[in-house]
Amino acid sequence: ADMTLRMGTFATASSPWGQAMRAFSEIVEEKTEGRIEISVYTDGQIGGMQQLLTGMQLGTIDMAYFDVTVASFLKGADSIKVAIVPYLFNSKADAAKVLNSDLFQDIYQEIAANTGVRIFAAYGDRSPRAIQTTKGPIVTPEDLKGMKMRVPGIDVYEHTFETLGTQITPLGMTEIYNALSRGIVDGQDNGFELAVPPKFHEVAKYWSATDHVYGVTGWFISDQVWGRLSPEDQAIFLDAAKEAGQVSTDATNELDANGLKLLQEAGVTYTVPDRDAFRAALADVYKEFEGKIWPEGLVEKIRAMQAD
Amino acid sequence: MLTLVFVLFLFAVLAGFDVGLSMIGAAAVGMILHPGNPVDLIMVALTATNSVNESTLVTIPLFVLAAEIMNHGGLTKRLVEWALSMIGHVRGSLSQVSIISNLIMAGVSGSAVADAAATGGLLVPAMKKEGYPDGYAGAVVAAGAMLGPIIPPSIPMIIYAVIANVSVLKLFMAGIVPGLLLAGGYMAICYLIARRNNYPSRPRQTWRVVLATTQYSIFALGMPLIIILGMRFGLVTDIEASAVAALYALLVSIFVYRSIGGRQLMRVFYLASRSAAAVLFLLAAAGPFGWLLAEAKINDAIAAGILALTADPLIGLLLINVVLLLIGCFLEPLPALVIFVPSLLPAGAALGVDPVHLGLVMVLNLMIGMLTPPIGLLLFVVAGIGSIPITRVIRAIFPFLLWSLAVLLLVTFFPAIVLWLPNYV
Amino acid sequence: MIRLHLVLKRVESGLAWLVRGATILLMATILIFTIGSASDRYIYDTSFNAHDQIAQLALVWLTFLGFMLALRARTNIRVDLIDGVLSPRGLRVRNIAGDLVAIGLFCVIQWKVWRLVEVGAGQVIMGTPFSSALTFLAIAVGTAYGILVIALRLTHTVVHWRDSEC
Ligand code: NA
Ligand code: NA
Repeated sequence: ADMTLRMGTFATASSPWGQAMRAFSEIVEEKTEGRIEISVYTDGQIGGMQQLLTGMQLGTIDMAYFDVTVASFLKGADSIKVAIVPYLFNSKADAAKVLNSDLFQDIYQEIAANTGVRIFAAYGDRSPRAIQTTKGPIVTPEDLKGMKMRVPGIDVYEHTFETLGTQITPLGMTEIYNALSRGIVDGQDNGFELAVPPKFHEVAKYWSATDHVYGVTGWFISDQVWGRLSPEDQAIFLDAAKEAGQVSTDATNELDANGLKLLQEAGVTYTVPDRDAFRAALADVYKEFEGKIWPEGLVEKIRAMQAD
Repeated sequence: MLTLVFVLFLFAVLAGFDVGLSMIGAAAVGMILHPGNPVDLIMVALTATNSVNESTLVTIPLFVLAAEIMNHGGLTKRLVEWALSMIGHVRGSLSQVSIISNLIMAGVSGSAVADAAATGGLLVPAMKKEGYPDGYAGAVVAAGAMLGPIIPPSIPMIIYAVIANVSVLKLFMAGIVPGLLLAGGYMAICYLIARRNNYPSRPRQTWRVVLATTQYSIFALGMPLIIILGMRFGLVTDIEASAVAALYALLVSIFVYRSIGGRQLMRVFYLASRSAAAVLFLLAAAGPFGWLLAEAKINDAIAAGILALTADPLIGLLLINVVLLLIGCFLEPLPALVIFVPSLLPAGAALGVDPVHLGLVMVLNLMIGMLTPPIGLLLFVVAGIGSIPITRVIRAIFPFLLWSLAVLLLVTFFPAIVLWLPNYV
Repeated sequence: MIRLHLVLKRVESGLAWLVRGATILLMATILIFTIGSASDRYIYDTSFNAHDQIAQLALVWLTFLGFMLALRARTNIRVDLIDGVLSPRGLRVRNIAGDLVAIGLFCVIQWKVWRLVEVGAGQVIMGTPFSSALTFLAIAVGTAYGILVIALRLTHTVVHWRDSEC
């Protein structure tokens, strides 16, 4: 091979992301007739989120595959946080459409210029985020009042749950199970993909399918490496990302279907809450950040793209 | 290239260079000689920093600090006196006390190094004073401290549970029986060795004395209880518990025993910082080394090799054990888990091994690695604390090592030993 | 030459005093912020949610500063397997070789680490006003201090070589 690239993620090899990365590697190798080889590393073996981002900035790690909003750990990539505004997208399909639109290509271009890390495509639907609690069921936003919630340590998530009247308790992913089991927190907000494998349902018996965020996975590449690819190879990467992203989407959908079954067998109370009530309660969350961490009017533009 | 890295590393360690720096040096050479595309040496600094940039690791300095305060504040002394009043009449009572104190500590902390620092600082000098050979005194403490992460709570078990997606609680439960088996065996070894060498015992105490000693040491005895209750009733997380342990020891030392003053406090913090940092640096140094192994996909090759050799779960598990024991000679448990669990897990699944069982076997195996030369962190820690030549500790550790291996074999071949308890969860 | 060396030695012990103070503060920071993340849930409710991030940052600094103090006091982790076999002279040669290796590795890290600090300046530590530059600065400052400690130890050995020979 003329070029061997290292691509990493922190998810496991058997996860939808791991499967998608292997598919991407095979497609690229085939379409470039072996000129470009991609070594896939899962499980955080060549680095977790921060090390993969840093490696791409330095050019020592070439590619990564994880949620697009992970980019927000880099200064100058703040605008990407708009993707976690609650109920921003009407559906998974809308999320993928918007995140691959020209509007977002401009944002990715700006991020690449600011940080040296480029998101060249965003394919791979994630499990919708939900609210899983030890007390419940959660049907309306009022049911959450006063609960202690573990949410990711990103301001938009934190403001979302503060708006719902919960107390935020920051914890690493590895601590959630114990914290739920001992009542240190009353709930967490990951979807099936991250909540089912660690078996949170053993200790938190209420699942409320709020769907407050539809996440999409991003194909990340070091901008130095992207610049070295010929336009033809860049096109091959784009096609491969789309095709491999579908692998991730399919695997996630299957995981979600199984997850629902598994929860019901484990005696978990599965609730579809009053989503309109949640949407209304969270309608103003984005205003806190408009014109500060993303440009004024971006949310309006995104909503307009889905209206038709 | 990797063979050269290993040889270089071994040579540097045996020559007596700093273990962490030997690891970094060997990894740097490996990065320069990397076949195909050389690795920029900036990865040394990046991976070394990132392997200690991990929030669960704050428990290491905090438990070491708690141990240092307990020693200077007289808490450990009281714990030992209490244990002596209970079993002082048994032959070699101080060595028995070492195992029991470590068993109590194991119920509080998830870090073997911190346990060794806590009990070793007090018991090694005490045993030396009663005429135990220094190497043996160190070995007893090292073996006892190894129980720390086998008896819950346990940092390595949490890490395995997360990578392997098994329930932390089940894995914790799986550790209890092997932990007690190990402790029982260690105490039997202590008894036999004490009888043969005629180590001292003390007269049996009356219940009045026992009661008085209990009263005298009540605040020290209460420490594990408070921490365990704090965790069980959801007042603090496992990580926060280490800080509570340090704070509790501090408050008792200052306000109850009045044994630590301002200037001494500075010294205690300084000593704890320095010894915690020596251990943490080893974890940092494992960063570049582990990165190189993972990048070369050694882990995948080993897993594939095992699957190619056998389809029998027991033989497969035995092979996994052999490989892990070899790995444990060179790598500490935490980096070894991060590098090897992701590839050994699918191999175990293909062989039909229960993931909780595999987890317990891996954690136990890698903990045994902390007692095996040449790179056995616990051996280093007790040798450092007791100013004992490492070779003497190594010589004295063998009976304990043999029993640990016997327990490992037992839990490998009879999964029921570890799996019955978790099934009640 | 010898006078200069004495001045340097005084500077070094002053620096060591500072670094010692720093590690004490770092340990206290780890303790306070880890307790803080627990007490925050019960005692008061603030919008500050990054206790663990601060404790973690202090941990990285403690690792690299504290290790240099351990190296200075020779309480770092090593295997003394051949120490008993070597003659006093052999032992001294080995120690010098060890110091040379250490200083070489620290120099390699110095050569590369500043680019890392630069890149780290562009990464946020969520929930805090800090960037990852502060994280990477720990190994940069630690190894710089380590170079100083070992360089002085080596000059000391050379200056006193003849005294200790007889
Ligand atoms: Na434990
Ligand atoms: Na070992």
